[in-house]
Amino acid sequence: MLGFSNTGKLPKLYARHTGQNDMPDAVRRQLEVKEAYQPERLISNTSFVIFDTETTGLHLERGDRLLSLGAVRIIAGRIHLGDAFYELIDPKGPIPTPSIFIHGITPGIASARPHISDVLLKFLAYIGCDAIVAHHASFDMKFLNHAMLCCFGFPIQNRVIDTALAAAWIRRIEEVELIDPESYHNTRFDAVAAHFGITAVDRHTAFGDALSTALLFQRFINILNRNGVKSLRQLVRIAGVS
Amino acid sequence: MVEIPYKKIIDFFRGIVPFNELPQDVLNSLPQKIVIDYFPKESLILEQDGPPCNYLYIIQTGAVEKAVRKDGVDILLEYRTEGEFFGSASLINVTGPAFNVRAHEDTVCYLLPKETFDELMQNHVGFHEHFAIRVSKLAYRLKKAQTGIFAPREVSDTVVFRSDSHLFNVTAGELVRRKPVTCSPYHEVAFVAKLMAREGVGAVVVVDVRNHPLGIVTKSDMTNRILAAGKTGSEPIRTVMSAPVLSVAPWEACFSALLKMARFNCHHICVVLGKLLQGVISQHDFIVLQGSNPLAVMNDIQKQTTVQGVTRLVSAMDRTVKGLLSSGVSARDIATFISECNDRLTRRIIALTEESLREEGLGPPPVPYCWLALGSEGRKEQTLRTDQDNAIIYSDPEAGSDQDVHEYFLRLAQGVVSGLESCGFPLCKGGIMASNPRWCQPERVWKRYFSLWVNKASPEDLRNSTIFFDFRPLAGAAVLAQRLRAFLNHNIEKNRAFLRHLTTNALYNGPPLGFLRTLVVEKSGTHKNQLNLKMSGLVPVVDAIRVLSLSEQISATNTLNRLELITRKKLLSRDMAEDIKEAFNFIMLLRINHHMMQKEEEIEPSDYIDPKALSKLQEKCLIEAFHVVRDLQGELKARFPESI
Repeated sequence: MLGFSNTGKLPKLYARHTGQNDMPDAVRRQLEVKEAYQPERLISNTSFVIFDTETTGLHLERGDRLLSLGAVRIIAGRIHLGDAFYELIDPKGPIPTPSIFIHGITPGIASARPHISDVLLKFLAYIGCDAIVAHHASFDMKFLNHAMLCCFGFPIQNRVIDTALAAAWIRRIEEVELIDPESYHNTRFDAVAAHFGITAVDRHTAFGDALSTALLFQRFINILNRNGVKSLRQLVRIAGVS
Repeated sequence: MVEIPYKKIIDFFRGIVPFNELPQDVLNSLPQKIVIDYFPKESLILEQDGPPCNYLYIIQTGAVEKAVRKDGVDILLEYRTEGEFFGSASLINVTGPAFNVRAHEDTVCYLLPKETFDELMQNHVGFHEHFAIRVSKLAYRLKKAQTGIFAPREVSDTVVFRSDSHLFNVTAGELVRRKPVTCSPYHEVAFVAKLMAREGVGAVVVVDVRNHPLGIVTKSDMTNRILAAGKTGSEPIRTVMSAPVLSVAPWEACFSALLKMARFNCHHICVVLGKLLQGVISQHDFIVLQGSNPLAVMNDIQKQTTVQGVTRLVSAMDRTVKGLLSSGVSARDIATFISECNDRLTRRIIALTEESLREEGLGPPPVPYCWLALGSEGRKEQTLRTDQDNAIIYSDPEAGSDQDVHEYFLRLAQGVVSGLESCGFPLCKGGIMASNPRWCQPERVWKRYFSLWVNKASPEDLRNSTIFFDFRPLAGAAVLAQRLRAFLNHNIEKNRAFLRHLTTNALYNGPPLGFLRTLVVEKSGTHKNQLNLKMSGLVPVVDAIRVLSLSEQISATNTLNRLELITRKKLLSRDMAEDIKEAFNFIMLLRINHHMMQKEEEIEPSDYIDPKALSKLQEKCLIEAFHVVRDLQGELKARFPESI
């Protein structure tokens, strides 16, 4: 019930923030997310959006912003390559030179790209009511929700699943060796992926990373199923990010 | 939206025949249509005679195996691995798959939907032709498999050789025909004889109250040990039974049971689960199963009365080995079979040589002696007839007779060595043979040699250690060899520094692994672009396991037996031991297969192979195996850190 009362506040938050009452369709869709959530649905038969972001740096509070957003959908355990999402974003600010070597997005490329609010609208339309999945999702969500609050006055309503948490859970169950979880962000995904035998597709583009994460999550669905984690509710309990 | 960066996926397809023939714009549009699916190891992807495929499956990572099921037996057709595909025949013919496709390991596939596939078939001639030919080839292969003349070695991707030959597919448990006939150890002989007659069996198993077998009595025991020995029917059966009994677990292949029976010259073997008796298998059961059996070859050796007779059997042995190889048996079993044959052959030649010396008037051996098998023969790891490595140890003769005794054994050794040579065992180039006076010595000299090698550990001593310390008694008084082994163990225990020297030696050869999981090949010379399977794969394992087992005073010489024993002593983890076993078996099998192929092409057998000539799966397995070898060397280094 709490969920619905929260949802009820969203139009007010939106109106107060933007000064407009008319929500675009994609934003309005967010009002339906909580109601559409079916906790007992089998994860092997659900659709998920697996996404990744590239940012200008690691520190939101020091002015780092989103640079690109990539995603791909898994439906009933299969990755649908045709149902993918990829956008570059104009960060409206300087792109630190060192980060260009990682993601290859130069200021020239970025400034030709749409503003964050347009990208968010497209992204909200794309994810619909699906649960969204990322590796170390809280990092991506910090940037995404910051942008959401700036543009629309409320955060993303979809359930968020973290594959790093799922990996840690699996490690406890199967005693799989993963490398020290405190170590550096980029190596973490590589280590986990290598351990589960994933061939990373195209590292360090938001789409390539999202696809690699999807390949990882695809295996996790199987491993989790084998270990009794079958419903969305169970998945959220072990790997959900709030 | 920005164009999705599918470049890597498009590149993947561009690298695959016949997708490489498609125009760029068609390739670019492919990813849009594709779905990625994941199949955990051993899951069934396509089912024989199941519903027709809706997709063409292209393997992104992993490997799958195709097998047809016929009369309840799976016949392996081939493996498909990264960059290859399956499902095309079913797609084209819109029929159920003609075989089962199972994930051989965790596998990720790109799935190309039927509509897209049909579109490509209609619009691109090269693409169409490729699949048309492929489907007809497959149909041919399937037909061959079903008519039973399928030869697994014609398939390029076959790593493990399998067939429907019964010896390897039927387990010992399946061969048990009836409930075993048993009696208690206190039953009278007369009662057991009646039991045999009533039940119509040739053997009765003597069991305790928990149904654990204690011994076995056969019809021939009845005649030999009772009637011939003048005993009466009131004798308790335990005084005449053979004990302990040979046993085999129900899930083991018949072939393992057969080998055990051959080794101990027994006609019956008990099938036991834990210690509980499940049934009895007799030699007769094998003959019924097989029509003929490898035992016949071994038994024929025993019957020969001249060295020439033995020589003539060699080609029959070769044929049997080839048969075993193409019918899917593990490297260990093949090596065991070869060792068993070679042992019998050697024993027969020794007996015949002793006899001819006697006829020459030299009399019987003046003192007890033992014929030692060394090196790979000592380890029972021979694959081909490799160079002879042998020696003689005899009891210390009484003072004064030294010269005569030495003379006799040298004569014996010369006779045996030349007999072995005529059977196709080349002479040892390093002269490590019993006919070399240095290696035909009394017990006290051998002890002096061994203690010298352990204490001095010069490079030559270490080289000798790796050959001689794998000694095994082959014929004669085994107690001499046992005493020598005890002496050796004691000496090593007193001088642990020797193990560090031996470790340095064992780390000299290593697996040819480069950066980024590649294989390193010779850069120049006769073997350019090749690698040496024996020196870089087998020798490092054998050497490392030898050090570990000598450090624990383990007397076994066979590498896999040593491995089992050091694992029990917790020197290696169970998982690691399993990996080593598989890696060792794989490299060994690859080597045997390589030798057999060279033999067929009448090339001098060598251990060099060109990794490019291997199938993708074989190459992958080889890389994995080499990684295991490297891990093992790491373990060894950690245990004896002062080396290097």
